[in-house]
Amino acid sequence: MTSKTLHRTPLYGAHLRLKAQMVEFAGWDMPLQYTGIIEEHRTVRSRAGAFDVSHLGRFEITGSEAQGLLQLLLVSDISLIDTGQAQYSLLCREDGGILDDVILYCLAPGRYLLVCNAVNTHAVSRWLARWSEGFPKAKIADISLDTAMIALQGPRAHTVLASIWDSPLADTMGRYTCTVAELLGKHSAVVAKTGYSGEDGYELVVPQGESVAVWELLLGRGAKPCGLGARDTLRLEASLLLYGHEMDATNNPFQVGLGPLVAWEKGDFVGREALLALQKERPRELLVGFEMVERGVPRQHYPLVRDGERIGVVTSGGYAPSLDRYVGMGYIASKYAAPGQGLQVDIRGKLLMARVVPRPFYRRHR
Amino acid sequence: MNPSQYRYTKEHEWARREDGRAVVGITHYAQEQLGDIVFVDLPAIGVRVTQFLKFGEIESVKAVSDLFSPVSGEVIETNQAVIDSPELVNDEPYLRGWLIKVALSNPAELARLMTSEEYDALLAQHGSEP
Repeated sequence: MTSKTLHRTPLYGAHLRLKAQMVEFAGWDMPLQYTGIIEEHRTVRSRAGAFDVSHLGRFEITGSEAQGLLQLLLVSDISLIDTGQAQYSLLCREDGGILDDVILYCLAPGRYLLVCNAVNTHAVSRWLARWSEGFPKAKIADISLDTAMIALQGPRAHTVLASIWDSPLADTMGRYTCTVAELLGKHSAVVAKTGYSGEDGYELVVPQGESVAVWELLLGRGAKPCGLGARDTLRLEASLLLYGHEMDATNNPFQVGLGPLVAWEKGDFVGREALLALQKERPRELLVGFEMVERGVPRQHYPLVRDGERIGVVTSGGYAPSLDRYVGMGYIASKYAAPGQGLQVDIRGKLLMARVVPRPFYRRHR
Repeated sequence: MNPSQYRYTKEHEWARREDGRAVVGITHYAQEQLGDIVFVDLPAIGVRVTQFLKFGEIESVKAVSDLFSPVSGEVIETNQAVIDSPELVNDEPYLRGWLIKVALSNPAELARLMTSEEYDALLAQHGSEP
């Protein structure tokens, strides 16, 4: 048992009532699973699952200089998103290392919501505060504890949401769009068509005091509660990156395959000079997907080997329920990174055969 | 309620004696604690296992755990159905989810295992329904 006090989301009591198995994650006491990771995984692939993702960091950045501040801190060109649009992006340090991967939502002109990884909330908060000194007309509010965030994911997510949201937008929202909504005419929420499961779905940011009501509404309309265990197996199958696994401050965007996010033409931004130099270097290692040829479970930190020589390392891996295969992602010497290349995974001293495959492992039917 | 004709270890494995051999598996409590089982690594036929020592590994979505043998002897069969479909251990830990069969080298050592009543009492200390 850990002695430090863990944060609890506004839905903590609801998780206990559902008899969730709880787990510590990034300083938060979070549901790992309710009935079973694989069952919850399959629910999201076939119906609709609701996840408490209130542990994610949420910052509201407002004011006439909000866009200028964000343009300085994100590597992408945020002038490309207007009200109602969202963008996946990176915060990089001066040396080009990735501080965090984030989603930026533009809720209104001069009003943005920035969502970051729970492990990085404090670092991002300090980073925003440090750089905002030159932007007196940008106001930063950490709303992580004032709100809850619920991810509603799966092919039935739309049906569930449309049953509590009387708006034509419920049917027409495209991916990476967002809006401010009223659910059942009484619960205010930011509704965004984003997610981390490889399925269609939404993410809702709701005031803390209304979060239990909204959560229970979603469950009442057919969404099944799903925990962080399924969130991880779902994102692995969709080969979505996880900070602390596929990237950290020692990686630059080019190694991770996120070079296309960097918008050189937008002008100056933090990390630009270092990234310009790094862009010219060919990365020695690249992030790849692989699947096991021999049965075994690849896990983070296991060495990748070829001809007795270490050529890389596993960043994430496990059983992929939708594929009934064992898959992983990892960094590998770039000359071995092409799909079809053979390799071995050193699973606690046993060398088991695997091969590089294209990502994602799983793609939803459209 | 754990089956009364089985014997148990404090590491939550069971053994069921069938004449000169024993069938070995993990308990309902163990599979519940592990969660969804996705891989089992069992010894080859002919390998000698020793009571209370590691004989294999079992992996859930989240973690890897060692398997400890409740008995000593030679492995004479492994459960191919479980190797192919590890979730059988979750579904039927005492029946189709068995792991290995062992030709007992020392049947007397079964007396060192817990009876179902003793094992139920151990689980009650863990605060679990036996």
